[in-house]
Amino acid sequence: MRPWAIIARKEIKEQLRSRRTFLTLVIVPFLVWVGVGLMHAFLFGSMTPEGPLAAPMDMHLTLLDPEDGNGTFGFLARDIIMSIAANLSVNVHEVSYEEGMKLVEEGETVLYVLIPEDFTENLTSYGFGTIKMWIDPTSPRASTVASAIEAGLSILEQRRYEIRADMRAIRAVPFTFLMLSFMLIFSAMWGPMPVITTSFAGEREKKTLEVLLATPVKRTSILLGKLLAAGFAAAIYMGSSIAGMGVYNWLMAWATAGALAGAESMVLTPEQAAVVIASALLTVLLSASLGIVISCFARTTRDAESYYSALFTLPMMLIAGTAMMRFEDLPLALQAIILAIPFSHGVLMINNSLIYGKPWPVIAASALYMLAWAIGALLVGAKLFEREEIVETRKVRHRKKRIGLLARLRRRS
Amino acid sequence: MDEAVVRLEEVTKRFGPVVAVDRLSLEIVRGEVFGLLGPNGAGKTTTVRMICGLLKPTSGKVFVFGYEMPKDALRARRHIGLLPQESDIYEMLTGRENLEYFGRLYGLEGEELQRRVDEVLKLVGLSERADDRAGEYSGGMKRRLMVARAIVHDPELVILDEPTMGLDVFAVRRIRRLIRRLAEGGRTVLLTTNDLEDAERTCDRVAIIDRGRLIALGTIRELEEKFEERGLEELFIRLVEGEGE
Repeated sequence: MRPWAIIARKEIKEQLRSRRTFLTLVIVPFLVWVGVGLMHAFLFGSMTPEGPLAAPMDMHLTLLDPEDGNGTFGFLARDIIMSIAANLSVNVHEVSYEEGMKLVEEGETVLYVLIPEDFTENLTSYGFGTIKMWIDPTSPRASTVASAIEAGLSILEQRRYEIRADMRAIRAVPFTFLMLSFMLIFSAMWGPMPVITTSFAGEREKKTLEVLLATPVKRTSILLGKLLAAGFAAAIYMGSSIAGMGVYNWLMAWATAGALAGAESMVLTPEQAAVVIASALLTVLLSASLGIVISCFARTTRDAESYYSALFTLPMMLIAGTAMMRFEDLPLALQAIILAIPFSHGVLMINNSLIYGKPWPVIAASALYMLAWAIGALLVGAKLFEREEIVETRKVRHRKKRIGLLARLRRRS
Repeated sequence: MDEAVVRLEEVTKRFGPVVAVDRLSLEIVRGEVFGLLGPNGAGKTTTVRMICGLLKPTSGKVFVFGYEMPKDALRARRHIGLLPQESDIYEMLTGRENLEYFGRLYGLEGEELQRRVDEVLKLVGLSERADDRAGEYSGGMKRRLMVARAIVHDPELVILDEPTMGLDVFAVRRIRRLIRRLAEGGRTVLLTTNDLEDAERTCDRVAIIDRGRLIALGTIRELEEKFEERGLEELFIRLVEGEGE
């Protein structure tokens, strides 16, 4: 057996015996998705009119705009609100202005809408009318209903000219596709973390590194063995995440009773599946390679974990952004930053393949960029691993004392 | 192959402004138990690390079995077994798995590997606990397992850096006996220690170093005669204190 295989096998054996591995690589990612699924299922499911979790929400409405001979936009607005409310499983209670304000003051309502008495007059005379809404910010559902009412009332403006918008989707975007890229990259980035941070920093901390380095095994073989073990950890993490994601999808589909079309369908073509797998593998390789560089620097596992978390936070935040929105809609400067960060290309690969159907050279360019970074990081890691500081805690190289500008001037004078 | 298993020629190692080893020259010959003695911070561990090719001398040359270190370290390391001063074992693995792992890294496999693992387990008295997780071992058992790890591939040179540090009297006695047995089997043993009883009971020759410099070299009797002191402890204190003054 090759030395790298011996090292990888031993590392994997240790991982499988560790309770920490079981917790961080199997239980946590699964529970995260199940937890998010439950939260979303209750949130979205309670809003749908027919879902098993549909729970009517109460809101209050006051119409002060009087009816005149020409009809009133206030009554029309009320009808629209009633219609939207029915679609979102919301019970509308009509109350007087005084009752409505009392409910607001006492915090007894989450959404109160007031159609004022000058609503029609303002709309016909000045071209705009104002509807007042009081929303409880702790209720996301109330905010969603308020937004839907605001959007729905915009048809009042169109009504004057009888404009109707016939909206059609440019591309079908199953809900799961949007989540997939983020989920996979998240898993691939964090999956190898416990193994990589404990690899060299952990061996040094546990005082096993010196004896390993004293064996007749090339350091590149040791690196490769550790890298493979990290890949295994990431695969476990990804598998657990995908299982969790399956539960998430099922919960969403069940709770919303099909209202979120496509939530349950995640059928990939072989080409798309290849891109998803390639993207995940490249992300694992990249995070493991960077992790090795970190682990070579860090003295303890805790140090390595801190550096790892710090280094990966920015990409995570940006990836969270790019995973959920169209890349071209971002400002150019942000696009440039995102393109420079290699991890973003994992998301772009998946989104470009699954959602935007971009040509393969675009996807391949992202893959090559990630690969170049991973190889670069590995080379740096290999170089760092050769340093004497790996076994020696004292500073091996002595930095020359820097002479400041003032000191130089003093010397001259 | 050269009769000198280890040869240091004017070896100096600096860490920034600190001189850890200062123009150290010595030879360790085949089949002897050689003690490298010195107080804490004398440069013993740095010397061992240079012999294993883990550190590169700032100047001078280190040869092990005729191979220059660290240039030819991979070849030389096949014949070296190391017990570092501060070391540990893989606690998630059993004692046997720890030894199998290192045996494989040294190229052993199949029946030969199993035979060697069984032999060294018996030698260090861990056969009965071989299949227990190493994390459950006592401090003395762990240290014995580390000694077994250092000799599992049957190396010609065994380097033991403070092998008895922190052990109880029984474990110390067992390790001393083991060192003598290795020497009787034709192995060369380099023992670094500041436990003078270890050295007195096990070493054929000793080198005393202080602040990186060699201050005495020879058999204990030779040194006693040369410096007119009885007992290694008195000799050591006189030489090291003399250096400090």
